[in-house]
Amino acid sequence: MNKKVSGRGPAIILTLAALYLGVPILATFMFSVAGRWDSTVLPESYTFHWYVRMITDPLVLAAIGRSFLVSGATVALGLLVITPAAFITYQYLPALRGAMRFLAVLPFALPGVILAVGLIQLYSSGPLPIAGTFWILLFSYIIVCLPYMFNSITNSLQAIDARTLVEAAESLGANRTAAFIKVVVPNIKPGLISAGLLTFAVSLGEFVLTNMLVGGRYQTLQLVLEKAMHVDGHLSSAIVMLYFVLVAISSLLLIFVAQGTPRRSGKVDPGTQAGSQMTGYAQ
Amino acid sequence: MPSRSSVLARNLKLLRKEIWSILGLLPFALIALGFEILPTLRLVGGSISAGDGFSLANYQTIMTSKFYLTSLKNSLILSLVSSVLGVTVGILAAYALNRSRQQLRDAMMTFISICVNFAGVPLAFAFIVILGSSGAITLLVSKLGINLYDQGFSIYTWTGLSLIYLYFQIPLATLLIYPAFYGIRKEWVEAAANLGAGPVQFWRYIGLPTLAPAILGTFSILMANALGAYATAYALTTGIYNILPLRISRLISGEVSYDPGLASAAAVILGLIMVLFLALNQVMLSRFRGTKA
Amino acid sequence: MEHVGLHNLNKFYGQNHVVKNVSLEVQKGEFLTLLGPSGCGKSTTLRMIAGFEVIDSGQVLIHGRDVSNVPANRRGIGMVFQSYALFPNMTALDNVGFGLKMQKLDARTTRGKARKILAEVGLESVIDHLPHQLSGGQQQRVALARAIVREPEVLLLDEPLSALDAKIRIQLRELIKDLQIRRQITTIYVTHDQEEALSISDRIAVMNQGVIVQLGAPNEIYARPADPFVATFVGTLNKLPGQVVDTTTGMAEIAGHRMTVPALIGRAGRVTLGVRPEKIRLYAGDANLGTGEAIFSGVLKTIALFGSVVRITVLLGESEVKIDMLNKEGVLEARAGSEVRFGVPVENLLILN
Repeated sequence: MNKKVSGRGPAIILTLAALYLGVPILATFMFSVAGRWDSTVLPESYTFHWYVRMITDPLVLAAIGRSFLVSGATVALGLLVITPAAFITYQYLPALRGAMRFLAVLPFALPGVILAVGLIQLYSSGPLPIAGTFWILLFSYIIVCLPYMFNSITNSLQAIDARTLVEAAESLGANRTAAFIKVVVPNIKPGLISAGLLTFAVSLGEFVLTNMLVGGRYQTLQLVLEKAMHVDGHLSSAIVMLYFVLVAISSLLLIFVAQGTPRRSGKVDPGTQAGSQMTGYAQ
Repeated sequence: MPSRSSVLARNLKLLRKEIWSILGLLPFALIALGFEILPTLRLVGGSISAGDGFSLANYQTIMTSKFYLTSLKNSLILSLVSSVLGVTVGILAAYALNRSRQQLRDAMMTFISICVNFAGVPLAFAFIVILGSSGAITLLVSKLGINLYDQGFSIYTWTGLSLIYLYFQIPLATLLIYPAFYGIRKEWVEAAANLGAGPVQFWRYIGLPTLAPAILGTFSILMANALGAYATAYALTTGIYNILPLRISRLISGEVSYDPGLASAAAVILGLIMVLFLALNQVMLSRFRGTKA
Repeated sequence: MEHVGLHNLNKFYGQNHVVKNVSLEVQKGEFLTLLGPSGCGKSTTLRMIAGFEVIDSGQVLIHGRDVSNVPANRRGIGMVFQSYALFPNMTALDNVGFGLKMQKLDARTTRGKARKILAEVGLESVIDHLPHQLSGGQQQRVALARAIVREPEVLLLDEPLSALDAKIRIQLRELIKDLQIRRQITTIYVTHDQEEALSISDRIAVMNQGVIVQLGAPNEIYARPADPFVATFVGTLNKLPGQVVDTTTGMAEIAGHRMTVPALIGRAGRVTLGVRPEKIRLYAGDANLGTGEAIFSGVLKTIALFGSVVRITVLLGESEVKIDMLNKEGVLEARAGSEVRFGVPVENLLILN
């Protein structure tokens, strides 16, 4: 395609799009630093009071802690379990590759609200009554993030031609575990980091499973925000900005990692990479 | 031709060789079983049983209830409108990005990548901040003498919901369509020009047909995205608005209307619709790859 | 003595029988090449020796030990891959040292040995480079060093030169042969390039459709191909279709020319004869004709310069005959379209069918 700037059309389109996407965030930011803002277009005074309140409110702090804990645990356990599974089916058990791919696509057809209906019925009572606990969130978040993790890891394995690298390692006397840990893992690290960042961002923003499966019994930041937004707008705006900053950091790191990864097939436009990696579903 | 027993022997040999691999899969298999496969089976099973045996009563209830049919219709219309608009804006934005300078493009792509994960409850709140009854934009236009809420607008209604859905559809659409534009090579334009095709003919015969699978595929992803969305509408209307995901959640976690069988049936219906759109995306994806090769 | 033995190896992919009863003995220090077109089963055979493919039936013996069910990392092999397969996260030195580290050698000995062998393959200046900073040829040298530093029982090479440029390919081919001779490494080499196979091997096993169709020294394969497949796959071959006119003397008629071929005695009907381009002699003007040759005349079509060799294509009736000659004075002066005569030595004729 022609990369020349031609006319005003593109500039107008991008400006409008940026406004549509930017104004809600900007307004929320203004609201979060506004002292009085009742009937004027711009705030009448400015303050950091709401942020101070946010980080001194034990309820919010505990929620931040819980959100980080469950999102971090999802990233850690997800990578720990899905990386070997993706590798083993890729390298040693090609017969199970189809089943694995199916499991990795299925969550796309199971948005939280659907998954929750099955999970509630299974885990509210019975032999494993973990509904309402941290654990059901952890395991169901892993399923929600399974597609991103699996795709990111599998793409990385293919990009480095892990099959041949592992054979090379084995021909040099390494057993399978050594080949996996010393050769495969270091070389797919960018893919693992991407998968982790995306999983973190998605887990942090998860609402439906949390609301339906644990509700008030394990209050994450999203739940606290949902309760607060109908009561205290200013505090809510501070929480929204905190959430926005966290998501922004994850996304920026994700782009940074994606651009730093050398691709076999020569140069890839950063946008193309972003597009293929960041198809995180909205809620 | 290998005999059956030799095939069996080979499989046994493989099994013995790969025993550790199979054990390595176990943790994942357990999680997938417990939190993906069993819930799905339970869902389907629950939807087709009533009392002690097989029954389609749950589906019958939904299909004959005006209330549930309306929620399905509302979900479909909301998704359709936000997806069509989302794809349209996405095409325009992707085209504009393609025509922009490198720095502008990178900056915009970065911003869009951030926005794609900004959704759900925080997004609903942000829209209340600008378009709520005392929101920033509501106030701004009232200074110009137009009172939105007197004109019948409300962020808590269908219109407001559509605007918010559109917000999370645009970045996704742009990110998905942009690579397709990138796939249209400069050489193709030159080759077409060499063969006597002007810009109009180029887009008519080469450009749009190349983009079509990506556009349709993106549309189906957006449909699935919107159909399954829950948080935005829940936060905005405290779970009252009549769309299918909110109905389902009421049926399974509400105290008054608790009916897991009905919830399962509604969830299966929603799931099947999603599968339909995701299958459409798969078809389009393979077509897109075909043209790229 | 037999160093590597393959006994009735079989491999199926589903219903596809890709390696059929392959048996082979490789001597200590021998350089054996598996040669064949893609899909003939040569790589699968190599991968069964390496331990990367399950052996459906049969045995692989290395140094007298049945390794058929031994994992790849305990077979004592060294392997070089077409795609180099260097570990991208390690320097050249660490790549070479990897196998020694797996042997639990201490760090100092490892570095010393790795350094020494890298010098031997001419890479002392780039030992701290990462693979992506090396050229293809350099990468394959590292891979070669990495495979032999462990002093494997057998070195396996799977199309190691296919991804390289023509010039580098020849340099590296010579390096491989050189190292193999110097260290007396038992080597099994897979390639589809017949010229490569002819130039580098002690023996060649030509494979087709999962079967070894001929096993022998390069010259044997080239001069006395076992069947039409080998004859056409190895080297360039002119095919001359004809008809046996006298079964008792072996007289055949080819493009209107009659010739007596003793090897055809007892045959009748249609035959196809083959002859290598360099065996044919081109006669200019009214030069003296050799004996034991069948003389043909045809129309000169093209002259192509290959460097030291000139390839002349002559039209003989419907078919084309290729003739290779050394690029000596006068050869290039022949004119396209002119009538030429050429002699085919009867003893060099191959009977294809």
